Amino acid sequence: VTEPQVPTGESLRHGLPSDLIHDLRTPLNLIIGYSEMLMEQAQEQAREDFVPDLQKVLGAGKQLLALIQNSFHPNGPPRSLQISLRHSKKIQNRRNRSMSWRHFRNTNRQENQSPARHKVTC
Amino acid sequence: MPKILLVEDNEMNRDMLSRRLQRKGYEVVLALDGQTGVEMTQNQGPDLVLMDMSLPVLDGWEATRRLKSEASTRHIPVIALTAHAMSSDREKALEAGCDDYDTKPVELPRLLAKIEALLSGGKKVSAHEPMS
Repeated sequence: VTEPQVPTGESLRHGLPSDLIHDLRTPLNLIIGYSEMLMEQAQEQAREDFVPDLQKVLGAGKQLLALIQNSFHPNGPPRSLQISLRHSKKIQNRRNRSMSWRHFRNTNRQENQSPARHKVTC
Repeated sequence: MPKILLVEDNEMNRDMLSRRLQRKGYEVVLALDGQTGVEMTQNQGPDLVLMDMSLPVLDGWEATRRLKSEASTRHIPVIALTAHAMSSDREKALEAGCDDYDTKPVELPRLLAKIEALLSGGKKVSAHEPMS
């Protein structure tokens, strides 16, 4: 029986297995690489009209790469990202609390309307 | 024209990087796994090997160890390529005998600079030097 692979060291510190980082970076390598190559070809073949759109693809790929690199950096995400993550967590907690309260209120309402509640027992 | 052996199992990565290197004037030969990479290095004597590390049959670390343990292939520079970006991955690659290390996504000017440095007899990167 093969032992399950336990993430160690850096991958544990990042809270994510390094395989996930690998799997995220592999398609990004293709997005960035092909868009750079197509931009070079477009410029060589005087098809400058393709360049702005290819720049958008390349820019989006690099933006995603920076996000992955910053999120899984050994020192943790940068402060700006930490603040944004904390803010998202706060919003999510608020939503959860609100949903719990609504659930409690609805359940309570249903129980109050239920005839069984008014049944008098001796 | 310098000959580069690209050992890469991912078809699209292989296609993209080989085309980009050919456009820069290199002759590129391809191997799909570590075992074939070792055999092609022995048979074809490329000027440099670009070695992906996560490979089937024989992984890039073991393939590099074999190349560096053999007198006929020891002198051929090997650049490790990996989408793992941890500092431990870099050290692991250099300890296996790789002459340099680069991460994917490949920044072509950076990779070309490393290729040129090694082809012109540049120094081998130490496992303890800071990551570029």
